[in-house]
Amino acid sequence: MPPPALPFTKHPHYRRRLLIITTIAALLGIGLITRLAWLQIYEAPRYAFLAQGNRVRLIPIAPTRGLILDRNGRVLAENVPTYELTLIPDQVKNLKQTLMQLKPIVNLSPQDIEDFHRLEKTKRPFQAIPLKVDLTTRELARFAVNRQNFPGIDIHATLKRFYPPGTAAAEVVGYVGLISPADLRRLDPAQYGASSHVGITGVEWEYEKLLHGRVGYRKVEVNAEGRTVRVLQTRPPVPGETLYLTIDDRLQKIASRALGQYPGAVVAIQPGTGAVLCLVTSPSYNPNLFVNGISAKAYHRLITAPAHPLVNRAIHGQYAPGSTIKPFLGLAALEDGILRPQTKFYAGATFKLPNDSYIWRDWNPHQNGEVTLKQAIIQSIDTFFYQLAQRMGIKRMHTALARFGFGVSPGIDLPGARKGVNPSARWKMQILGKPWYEGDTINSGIGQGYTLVTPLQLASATAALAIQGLRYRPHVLAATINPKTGKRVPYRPIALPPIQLRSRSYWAYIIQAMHEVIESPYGTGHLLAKGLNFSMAGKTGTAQVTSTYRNDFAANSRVPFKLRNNALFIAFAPVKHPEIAVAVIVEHGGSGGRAAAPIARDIISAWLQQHPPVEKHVSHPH
Amino acid sequence: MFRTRIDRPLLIALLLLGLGGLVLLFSASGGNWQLVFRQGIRLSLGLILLFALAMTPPRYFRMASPALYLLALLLLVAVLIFGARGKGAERWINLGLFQFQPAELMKLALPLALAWYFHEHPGAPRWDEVLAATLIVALPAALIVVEPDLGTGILVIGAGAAVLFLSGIKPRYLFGFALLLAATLPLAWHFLHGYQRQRLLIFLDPQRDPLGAGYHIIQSKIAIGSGALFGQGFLKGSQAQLNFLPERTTDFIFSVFAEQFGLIGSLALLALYAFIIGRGFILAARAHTRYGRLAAAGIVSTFTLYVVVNVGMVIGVVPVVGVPLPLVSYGGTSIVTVLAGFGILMGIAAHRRLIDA
Repeated sequence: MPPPALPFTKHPHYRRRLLIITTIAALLGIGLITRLAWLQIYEAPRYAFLAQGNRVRLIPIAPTRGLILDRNGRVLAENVPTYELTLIPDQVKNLKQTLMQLKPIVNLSPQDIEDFHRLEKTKRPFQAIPLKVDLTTRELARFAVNRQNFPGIDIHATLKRFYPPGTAAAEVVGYVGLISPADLRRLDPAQYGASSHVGITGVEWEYEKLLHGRVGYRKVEVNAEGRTVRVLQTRPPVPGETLYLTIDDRLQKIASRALGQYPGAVVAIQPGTGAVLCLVTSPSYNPNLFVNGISAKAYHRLITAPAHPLVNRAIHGQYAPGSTIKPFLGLAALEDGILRPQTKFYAGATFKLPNDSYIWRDWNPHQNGEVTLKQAIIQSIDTFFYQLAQRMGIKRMHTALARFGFGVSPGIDLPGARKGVNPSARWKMQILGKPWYEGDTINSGIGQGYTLVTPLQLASATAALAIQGLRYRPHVLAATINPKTGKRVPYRPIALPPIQLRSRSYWAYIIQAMHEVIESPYGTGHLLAKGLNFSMAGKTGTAQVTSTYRNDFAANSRVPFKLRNNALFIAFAPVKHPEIAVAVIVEHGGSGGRAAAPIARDIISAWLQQHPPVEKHVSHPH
Repeated sequence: MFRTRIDRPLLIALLLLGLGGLVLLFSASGGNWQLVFRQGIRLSLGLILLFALAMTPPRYFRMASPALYLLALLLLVAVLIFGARGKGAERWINLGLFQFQPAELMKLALPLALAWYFHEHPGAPRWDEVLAATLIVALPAALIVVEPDLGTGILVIGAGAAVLFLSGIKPRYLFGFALLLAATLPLAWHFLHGYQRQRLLIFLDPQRDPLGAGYHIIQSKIAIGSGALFGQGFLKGSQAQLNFLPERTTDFIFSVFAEQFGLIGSLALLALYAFIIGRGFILAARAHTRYGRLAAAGIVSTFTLYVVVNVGMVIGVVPVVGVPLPLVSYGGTSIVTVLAGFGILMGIAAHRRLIDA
């Protein structure tokens, strides 16, 4: 059969148009192929890299924080296991009911549940969310027996920082706290990827780098939901260094017990190394409260306590040194030739400047007679030092005190140390905008007026005096130990510029005077001499808090507590080969000889018992 | 009789694609046998339909075309009223055993209906006939777009345009259409859903929302690009196997393939499609009747658009509009209607051969 005549007239251009459509399709196909080739050849390396980035995740592993030990290896900060209850939403069928059932078992508070719901929103359903931290052993046990009823809920062990001495070493060790957004800005995000805590103050802050260690990583393959498919590679974290401190935990306890109710501070330093043996502030606080975030109530209590327990008085508190400044000024007067060892001044009950009506009084209203510098130190005669100051002038006094580190930052390896005030005419003009008056010089002569020192500075200066001008930067770090290799790196004491005098006999003279402060029956520290089985040199101080009550008899109950004098005492022992120098400040303690000196003696005694001195009690010829 | 009615090269190519699609589906679904099995059932169903339609004389198609079109239109209205919701759109009708997408049916019914119309009105279409044809296209297209299913809507319009073009429409009408399109584009933008606009914007710059609207296309390009020349190997594509690639058994199955088999594999797959399309156009060119020509060319054009839009979409040259890769993407209605279309094509071609013989 022949093909029928095709009605092409009724269907114009069909084949041509079909060809056009086919051509368009072919062109589109070529376009697609070009694009595919571009993606799969030219851009392939980039996309291979992106695919790898999709697939592989680095999961940081937190290093274990280094331990902090005292000089004898007693633990000051450690990591203790703590148990938290975690919940994986994916595996819990009825969340509401489960939480209700858990409530009586682990004492879930509404706050816990609220925190949980907040965290729940930020995590993926297969990730464990902490439900309650710090489970007690009782809660732990109760949950353990009911465990089979709670699929998807688990006990997760983590490490928590713990400070066994509690309040006794908080001022040195400090504490760690949860990392805040502000901390994140200064910390290396790579190193802290897995860490939850960071040092906030004290050694924990100062040696954060050593204590933290180095972060480890787990390289894992993940799927699109972020669920780990398999572990590709693991690099374990490097734990932080163990820190040995120069602090003696026992001395810390003795000092804080001795201070008792009184606000105050005690600092003991080893002359010849600058090692801080004890550094105590009172009242103190329990650093364990801060570790997992302190409650608002507890924090409010600490902040509003009248004695300011969060202030580290030992390095941050600035006090008028009172008469404890006298040995240093006396030494400077000898060196500068203001007087000689035998030079006598008349010292009465009062002192007046020419052309000035103001009367400066001695603490002893019966003071009367010609005295040498030595006697003036032993009996702490103010009217002698008024004259000494008048002759020296503030410029010389400023220079001499600066050499002992007063008014200078102590450079201790603890945060928050202040530098006190070593006044001068220029200082007064700069800070107060007023000219220096001669009366200011007279006040400075007995450690009053503008002079302010921290207990640390006082102890450090005393240590320098004890070993005739050799100075070391005070420090609390004794050694670091690598927990893996056991390698011990001792801290090397840093020598500061020594104080050199024209004659070494000046040192001996002042030290002898300070020895007699205790030994001489006229000495203001004679109270300590009884039963003392080692030689000790010291100087009392009673610093005025207000001008009204400045005398040694002010420490009685008729004076309001806040207005009572601060009691100070500096000491070192043994006199010949000093092993410990101490500064004690008891706020509103009254007389230095009575309130502060016994504390210094107890500390020195405890230290020397542990480290028996070469020389026994030797009485020095007068 | 059987041998003469079935176009063997086309059938072999379709079988190759269908079976290859099942293997790919196995990989893309992460070894989900159940999914592969269900798709296999649909493939078989489609093939049975293909054979049945290939046996049918084309005049029956012609006679049934208006009815099929009306049925599809009715179903489109029904889906708007009773439709099951899937990802924010009403596209399915639940038929108990499986869900049915009327829009997919319309993709087949529309070219047939247009072919029927022009068959009834021979010669170069006059302006009133062009208007009527435009209405035949616009009505279902509008229904599909408001579902909303922009991709299928565009495909339906594209298929309609192809048939209109082949009907011998005068160039000035074509020019008029182009002008009209340019004028209505801003208006169309106004009527788009928020997510549809978002998709178009994302197409221009996927990085503007890499974890949201841009995620699909970024991950798809990563999968295809990391496949490189030779691919990562069967079942070894990290993008697909670790679930980074979304919609990987349906719209983005080409990315799975390109990741595992590389450029070489992609070219082979496209060549297979090119063969099917080329063979389809050859059969269309040989058709005798006006109905047969327009229906055949319309079916092949629709199929071509499917492939171009889907592949263009996953490689980032066409906005993500939700169009499956024909015969490979998981989804029942599409595979059955596509195979039915090729059955009709074979039927039309066979008719001519029978006349020739």
